[in-house]
Amino acid sequence: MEYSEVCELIDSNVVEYLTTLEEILQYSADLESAVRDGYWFMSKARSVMGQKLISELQVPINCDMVASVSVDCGEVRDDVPVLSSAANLSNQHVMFSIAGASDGEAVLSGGVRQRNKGANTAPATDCSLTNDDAETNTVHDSAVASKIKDPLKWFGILVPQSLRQSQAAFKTTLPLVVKLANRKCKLGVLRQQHQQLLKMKAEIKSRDVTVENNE
Amino acid sequence: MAMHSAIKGKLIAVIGDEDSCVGFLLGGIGEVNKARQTNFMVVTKNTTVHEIEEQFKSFVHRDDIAIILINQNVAEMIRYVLDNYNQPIPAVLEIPSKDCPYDSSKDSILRRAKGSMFTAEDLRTEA
Repeated sequence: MEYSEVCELIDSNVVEYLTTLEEILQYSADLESAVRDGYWFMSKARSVMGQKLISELQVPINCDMVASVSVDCGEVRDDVPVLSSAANLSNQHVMFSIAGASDGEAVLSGGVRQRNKGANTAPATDCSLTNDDAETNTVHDSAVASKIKDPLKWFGILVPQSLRQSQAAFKTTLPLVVKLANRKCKLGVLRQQHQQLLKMKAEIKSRDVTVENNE
Repeated sequence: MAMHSAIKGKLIAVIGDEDSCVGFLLGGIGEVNKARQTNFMVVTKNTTVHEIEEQFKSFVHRDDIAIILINQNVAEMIRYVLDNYNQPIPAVLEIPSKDCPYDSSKDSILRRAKGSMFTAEDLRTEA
């Protein structure tokens, strides 16, 4: 690989890095805003219901509590193919997505998918299952789906509107959390690539100097 | 419960003050597994640094957790642990608490990223 090619790769790596950093700062600001809204509405709900009626004491840790939101983890290749394929760099990084959503980016517009609402949409890998397996999974899913309860019910049946608004605010943070986690993983990969490229550049430079001295 | 997590995906864990934990639990991330372990920890003024550190380590070692959310003021208490943590899963994210706004200059990942990317040595080489 030529010296100029490595320099170009370093440039594109830095641009990608700065773009990712900017996205992280943007998502962090969005997350902070959403979380602040959540805190604000929760405080309003406390003023309506009472200080002690919205606390960790209402969380049913002794009963069955099932998360209605989960995260899928998988490895994906970097979306900068030129950067990684040309320099033979490792471009795999972890990608998180809300379970059931096809893309972490799409989730933000569509809202967080709740586990109990998407039981009918089986993943592609389930196509190879036999009917028995599929039925067993469906039974498991429906059994667990029945255990998922709206967390608002921990605080009573007639909860104030502000508590619902607080819940909505915290639900909007979850896709942002997933996006932030993805960007931070990508940042780590880009940093490693940058260091490898700098090393490569130094090697090429020293090789060229040696060749010139020999000539 | 554990079966469901295995089929559908991993969990998001929270370490933070009461409002953060209750808020994210309202969002639907809370789960108690078969071993009666929760995926959240409420930090009060009586919680010791050692307890937070132990809980963080237990979340890190659990294979059903993908993302750990931690209040930035709590993260400050175990900064030495977070600075040494560099695994992609579970990802650790610092979030603002009710009392303390988010400060990106304190975030372990961003500090690490900014510090090691553009060093004085790089600039000298470029020049």
